Amino acid sequence: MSGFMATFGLWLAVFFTFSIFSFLYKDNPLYKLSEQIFVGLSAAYWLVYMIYSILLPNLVTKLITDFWGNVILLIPAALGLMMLLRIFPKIQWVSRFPIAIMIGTSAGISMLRYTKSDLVSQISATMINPFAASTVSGVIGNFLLIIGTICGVYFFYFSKKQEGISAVPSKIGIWFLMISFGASFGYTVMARISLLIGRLEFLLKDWLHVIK
Amino acid sequence: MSAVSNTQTERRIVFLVLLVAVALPLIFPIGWKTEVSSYAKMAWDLIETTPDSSVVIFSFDYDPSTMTELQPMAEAMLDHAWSRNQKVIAIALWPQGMQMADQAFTAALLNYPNKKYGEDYVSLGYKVAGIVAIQAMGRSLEEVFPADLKGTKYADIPMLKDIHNLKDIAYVNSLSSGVPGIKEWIMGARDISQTPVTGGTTAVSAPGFFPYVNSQNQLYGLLGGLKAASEYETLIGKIGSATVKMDAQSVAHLLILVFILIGNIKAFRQRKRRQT
Amino acid sequence: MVIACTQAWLGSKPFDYLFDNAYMPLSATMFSLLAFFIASAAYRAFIIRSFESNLLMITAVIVIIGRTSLGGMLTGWLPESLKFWHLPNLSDFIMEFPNTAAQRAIMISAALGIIGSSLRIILGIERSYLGSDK
Repeated sequence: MSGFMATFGLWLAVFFTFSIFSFLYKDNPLYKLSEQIFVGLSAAYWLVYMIYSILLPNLVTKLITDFWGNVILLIPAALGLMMLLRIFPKIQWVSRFPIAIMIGTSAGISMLRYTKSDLVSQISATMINPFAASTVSGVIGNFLLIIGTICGVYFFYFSKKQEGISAVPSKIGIWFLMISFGASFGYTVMARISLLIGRLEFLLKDWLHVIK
Repeated sequence: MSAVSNTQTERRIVFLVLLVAVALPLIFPIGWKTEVSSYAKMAWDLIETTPDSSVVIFSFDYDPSTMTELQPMAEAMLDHAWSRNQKVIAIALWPQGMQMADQAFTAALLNYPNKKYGEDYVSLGYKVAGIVAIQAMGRSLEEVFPADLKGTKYADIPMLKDIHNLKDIAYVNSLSSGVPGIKEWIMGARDISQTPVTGGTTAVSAPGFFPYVNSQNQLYGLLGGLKAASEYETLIGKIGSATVKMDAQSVAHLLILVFILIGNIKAFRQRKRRQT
Repeated sequence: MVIACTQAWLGSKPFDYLFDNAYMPLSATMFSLLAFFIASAAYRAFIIRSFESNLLMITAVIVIIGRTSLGGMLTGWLPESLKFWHLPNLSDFIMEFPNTAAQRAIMISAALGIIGSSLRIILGIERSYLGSDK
């Protein structure tokens, strides 16, 4: 790559970084310009990736190199084309067939996988001997884990009004959820600050060479 | 009108203070030490105890928006895997993941210049469809990836000679910032093919994945955010890009706590004034 | 000829030039704006109001400080018998037990919901995705 284009690229990145940061002071045309470029670039990237990473290697190339060996691929190709017919109001009903296949497949896969990974395995992981931990804090933690999970699930049971004594587990469930949301807030702070550090590192290191 | 402009000014002061608080420790590092959490140690243990010459999968399920958090993890874990002489298959469930993988390999190759493409590592590329693709990999990797990114046929890649499906993979390391990512790998690889899964994720997503680190070993450890990346760098004994950023992270966290404190004092005073 | 010139100017993969110098900084900076907004939210909206909000606040504070190098230094002097109260350990305890319990409850409840709606779709009771409300 020519030196000029490398430097130009760096300044382009710096320009976009500052344009977006300028929104913190006030909405302005530079921010709007960068925002529009971002949206346009994202859309273009997705399109190019879809064509080159999915459509060409999985369909077009295979059909060109060995048509009869891959003739079954004409079925997903036809379903894909049927999906595109949504843009014509008169025949948009045709797109219902591929949608039905997609939703049906997702429903089947989700039901099986969520039953195993998020239901059975999670229940099994909660059915532990709390005294198996080697430390006192571990034993207390195991009790908290069991009580918190049961009360949390109970809180999400909306089929019967929870009042009086039956509202107690629900209340405990809320406490656990609040602790979890607090922890999530803490982690969110960490994530957002990290992203800012990344941008400042770019400005101070790659652009200004203030840090090594 | 003045109340609105006061709020606006307050906001701008908060923004400016945060910017300075993050920038200063980057320019003048303090050098605080990082303590390793049990979750990072578990992930490290999995890679450390995997035998030499095992073939492993690194799945790059993120894009540039979260690379500050995930790229240091990818580089540190790749470094560790290569130090144990493991052979790495790079794939991506996110379209831009392969570009992230390229960057990680470029960084790791500086420390391991003798690693050869096709023998020690290979990029099989991006695959659409998330869990459906993973389930298909459980049957046959060659069917899902007939060729690598350079167009070399699966059967002609030396390191993949004895690798037929996910059961032949020592572990899967998913670096994920959303869907598809770690969850899909747990559902499709761990819970079907029994292939161990470990990984790293953004700090935002991490709390939701902790239930998978359980007695059922659905997930072997978890790296959540930049702090965990720096913990991993500590474990492999390297000062990487995450470690140098931890001072800035610490100062910014302290500042956020100060903001919470000031905000509460202000709210308390307003409440008192209203009562009197 | 055109390809050779473009490659000489923009590198072996001209497609990557825009990715590295436009898409990547735009995407990363757009998300980094959230750091400022979360700081502003911490100042203006993170106020103690009830017992539940107290729980949320205390946990957030422990996790925010416990997940930094500074947290480790603040309570690093504690004797072995009090190591549980060492901020990184306390933060790990919260993540490992109460947080996991609540997240697991959400996970189990969501799984039940997903299984229920999948069954409705498979049995043909739920057909709204086809554009019909029956």
